[in-house]
Amino acid sequence: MLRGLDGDAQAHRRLLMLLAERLRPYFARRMFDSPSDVEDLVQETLLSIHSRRSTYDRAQPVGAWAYAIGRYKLIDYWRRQKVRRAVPLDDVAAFLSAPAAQLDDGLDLTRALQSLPPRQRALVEDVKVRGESLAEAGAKSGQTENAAKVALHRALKRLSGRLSDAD
Amino acid sequence: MRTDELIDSLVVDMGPTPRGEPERKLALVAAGGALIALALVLAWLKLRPDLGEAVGRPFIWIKAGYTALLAVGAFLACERLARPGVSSARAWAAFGAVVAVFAGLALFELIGLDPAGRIAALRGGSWQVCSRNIALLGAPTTLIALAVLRGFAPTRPGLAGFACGAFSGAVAATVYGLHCPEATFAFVAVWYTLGVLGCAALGAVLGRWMLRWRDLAPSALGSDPG
Repeated sequence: MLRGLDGDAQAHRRLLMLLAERLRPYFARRMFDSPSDVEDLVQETLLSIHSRRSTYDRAQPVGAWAYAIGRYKLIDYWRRQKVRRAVPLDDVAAFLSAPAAQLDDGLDLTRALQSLPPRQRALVEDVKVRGESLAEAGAKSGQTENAAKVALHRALKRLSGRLSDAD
Repeated sequence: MRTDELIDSLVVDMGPTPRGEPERKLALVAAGGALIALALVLAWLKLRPDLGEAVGRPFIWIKAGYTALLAVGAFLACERLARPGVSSARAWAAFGAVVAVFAGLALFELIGLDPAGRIAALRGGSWQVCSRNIALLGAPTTLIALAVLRGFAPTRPGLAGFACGAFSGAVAATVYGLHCPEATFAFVAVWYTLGVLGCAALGAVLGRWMLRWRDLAPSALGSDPG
């Protein structure tokens, strides 16, 4: 994203491709009654993302920014279709952790991880990145398995809050 | 058109994107808005006759400071609301805190006065026109601010319009101090604030349709369908 903003067309192209991959399932899940419109909406959203890229704040998670635009376009689409439906905010986490390759080489996640207190960060890294068991990770910091489970839950909650940071 | 073709067509001839676009353009709006309000004051309301002496006394600066701080708070809110996916809560907290502190000063002032003095402090000589004048001075700038914000990506049109109006109204109120001779906290806290909120209400109403995105449909970019 940052390189795209500085004028690197290839980086920008890759970013739009990645976002398209994420937007497609996001819209498809919510537009099950009109699958033929999904691709149109993906294209419209990419166009908005491209033409409004000066509104991206470099300190902000790219995913949260793109998600907010996608959500806006989806609501706008429904308004045009005269459908009223609530869009739950909590699926931002699913959007952000979608399996497509990392946006921005994992910059968002790295930044969010750094914002956690050291003990929580170590726990998340041990369990979620290195795949250790809760008991092993907890033993390192002298916690029981249950204490580690609770701490990990809190850390993940905080992490997803940090990543969405949305309105 | 296929999606990857669309992407290819978007990335041809793109240059670097300047940083801080929203901030820069909003600062220009503030400068333009101040000039518009100044022109209206000079041509329509006239400067207060005792302006020369007044600038030597503190209250005109206190008034200007209050409305300038409101403008800063609303500026921050506009900047946040121009960007999707960030929260404007902090900017609004700052805006609200400025209003609350000034209202506190006004209350403190009123407590020290007898009942007749309280009415006089609240009404001053121009309570019937003050808010209206500020709203009129700020209205043109509100339209400009909305037009500028529309070029960014506000995802909450009503709230973003409110911020535009509050920003424009606060800039106008700062300039209005050159005309208005009132010098009590109570007067400013009530009528100036109402004038600013009047602009904000105008912005909120207009924003709801002016700030809706009207991007071209991809099909309008040309190329064959399908």
